[in-house]
Amino acid sequence: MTDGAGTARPTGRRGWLRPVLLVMRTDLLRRVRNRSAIITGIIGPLAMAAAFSLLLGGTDTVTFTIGLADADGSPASRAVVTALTAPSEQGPAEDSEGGRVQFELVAPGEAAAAVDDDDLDAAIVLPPGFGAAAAASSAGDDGARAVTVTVLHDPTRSVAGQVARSVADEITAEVNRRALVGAGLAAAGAPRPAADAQGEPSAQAVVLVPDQAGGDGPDLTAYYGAAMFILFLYFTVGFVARSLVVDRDGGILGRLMATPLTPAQLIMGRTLAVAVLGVGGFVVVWLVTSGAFGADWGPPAGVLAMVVATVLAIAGLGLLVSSLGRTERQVESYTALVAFVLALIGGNFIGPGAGSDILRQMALYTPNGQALAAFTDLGAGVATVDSIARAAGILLAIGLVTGVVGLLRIHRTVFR
Amino acid sequence: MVQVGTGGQATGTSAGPGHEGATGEGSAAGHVLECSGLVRRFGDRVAVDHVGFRIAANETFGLLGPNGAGKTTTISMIAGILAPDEGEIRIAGIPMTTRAGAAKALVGLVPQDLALYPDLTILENLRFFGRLQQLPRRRLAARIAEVLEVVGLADRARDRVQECSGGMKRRANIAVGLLHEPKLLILDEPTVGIDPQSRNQILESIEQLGAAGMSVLYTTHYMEEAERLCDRIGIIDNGRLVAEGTRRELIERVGEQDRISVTASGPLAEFAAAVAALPGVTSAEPVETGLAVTAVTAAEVLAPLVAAGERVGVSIGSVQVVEPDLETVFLEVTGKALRD
Repeated sequence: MTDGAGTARPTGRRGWLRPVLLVMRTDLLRRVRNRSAIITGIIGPLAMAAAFSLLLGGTDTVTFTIGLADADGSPASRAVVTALTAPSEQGPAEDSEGGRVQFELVAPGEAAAAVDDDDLDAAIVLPPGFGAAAAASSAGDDGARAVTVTVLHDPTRSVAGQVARSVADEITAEVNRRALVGAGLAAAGAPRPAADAQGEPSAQAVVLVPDQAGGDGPDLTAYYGAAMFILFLYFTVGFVARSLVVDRDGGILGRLMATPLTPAQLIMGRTLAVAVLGVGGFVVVWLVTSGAFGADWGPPAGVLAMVVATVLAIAGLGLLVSSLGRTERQVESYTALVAFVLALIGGNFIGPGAGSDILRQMALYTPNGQALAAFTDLGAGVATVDSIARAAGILLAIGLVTGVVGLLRIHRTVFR
Repeated sequence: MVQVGTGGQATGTSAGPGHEGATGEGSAAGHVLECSGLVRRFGDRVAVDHVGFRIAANETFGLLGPNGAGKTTTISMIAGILAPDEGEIRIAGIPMTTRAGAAKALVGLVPQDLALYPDLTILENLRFFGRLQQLPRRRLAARIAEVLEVVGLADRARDRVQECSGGMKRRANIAVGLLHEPKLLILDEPTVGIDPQSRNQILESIEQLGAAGMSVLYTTHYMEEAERLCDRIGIIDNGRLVAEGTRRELIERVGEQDRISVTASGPLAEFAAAVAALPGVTSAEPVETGLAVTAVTAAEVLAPLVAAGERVGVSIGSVQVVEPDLETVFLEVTGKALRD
């Protein structure tokens, strides 16, 4: 179709999409030319990730030393201690919560002091009566006392505490599992297994800790690569609203709106540019940390799915946050505020599984926390298709809802 | 549908064939722009209050008014950037409200601000905005070459805008507005903040465009620009179009009166009141440098004027009699001087 000005006017979906892609391409060209895409999308996250990894020991994983204090001295507790402290041919065991784990035997009275003095990262105390309780449970004795394993840790070293708690959970879970089996057999009138009758859990049963924890443990370089990229992503996506405000104040928006371009096409084009930059930058950080630093992010398909979902979620939230500002400075301020608060809550600055229970729970209500949990699982090799699909679904929902609200707000505040 | 002949839409280079075939919906007598009853409010403030005028084909229409008078808001509505709260706009008969896309394609806007991406080259800016105007690729390449010649930037096309001088940026700003051969070119104070040489270059370009047959809507608060460029002028103040006509019509409206510019210091308000009371004086208004006076015959009021100054205690530096011009008209119709 040709109008009075001699211009060709494509119609239909292709006609609607063409200006969107033009805006996207132009924005990408500008972001590359003024180097903001490279700085916030690649160099910044890589530098921050490397710095965090170095600060945490200069290695790509952390080794936690967990003390084992046997205050019971029963065959059962000794079996647990022996199984965990025995030298392994594969070196320290690996835990899904925070890295590699090695165990040391410690006297019960010295465990707390060793943790306080930083000789140990944390300690697990098997309490007096552990063996008796385990034996009674295994025998199906309803009156048996519950087994309680104590974990000692320094509150400021929450990652180590979390690792120790996980190990203790596995020990108690194993004992409780045996209690259930024993109870079931007793109810059915069946004889107890011989080993259980002696109150001596087999070494194989206790050694389940590393097996059940599974995975390779999260890679800190990969973790901080993702964490720092997500942080920078907030600033990248803030570009959409920020650029519209700048264009409005500089008169370019008026010129754009004097063309057949619609506000929806302009916003869509800019959002697409940000999404392309986000996914592209994320992939570059992924490849560089994998190639140059040997980081293990996990299965590529899962990582890619999470990268896309994370970028879309942060893009949506970024649109909403930046739509709150009416000036460039306000947009920048709101973006920075929300980015850092969510990064703190979501665990971007602390290691995987770190922080208090409340903080770890709160983290899952942030898009970055959700994403990092999924990236941690992927890196640790414990992610499943279902868990990644669930995390991606949550992130996409966050992105969709916040993005739509943000777009409507931007349309109202910038274009009126 | 009525076929509207706009006639001679060349931009000083080569006119696109599309111009000749523009169709409108009842544009009266070849008017490129018809707007009526335009109202735009921002909260409680009425920025534009029932403004209406027409621009004929080949005509340069000036919208003259001080800063904040409502010029930019008016042209923003005409360019389709702002929706009017009331009123109607037609570009070559096409209503802006219901067929914005088609109407916008007939309008070229040169905003007051330098509406260019500074990190792109002049050429890249032209390509971007030309493609937004949906010019076919080959046509766009030809038009870019043409408009660069018009504004004298053919040899600087690959310079980044941020590296250009103020005058070059202004000219590139105009070039973007010309790309798609609009029927109506809107220029919003295109000479603000540039050196006299660049200003003159821009005014010459606009004169050439007008002479080549383009319809132009030119806003300014520089009286001399309006007098130099415009076939007809609308005076806008406080959001209202208070007078409209050719320069001669406007000057005739205030009568064959002389304007007396008095440089003075002291109690100017008292001085103005004393002078206004003199026989033969039609208005006396304090201005920054002294007093602006209109009189039927300047020679008859000069002596009493000086005497009045002595009487109220002002120190008169100079008295200058000037021919009636748009400044006089503005003073007459708005009751105040047109200040920068």
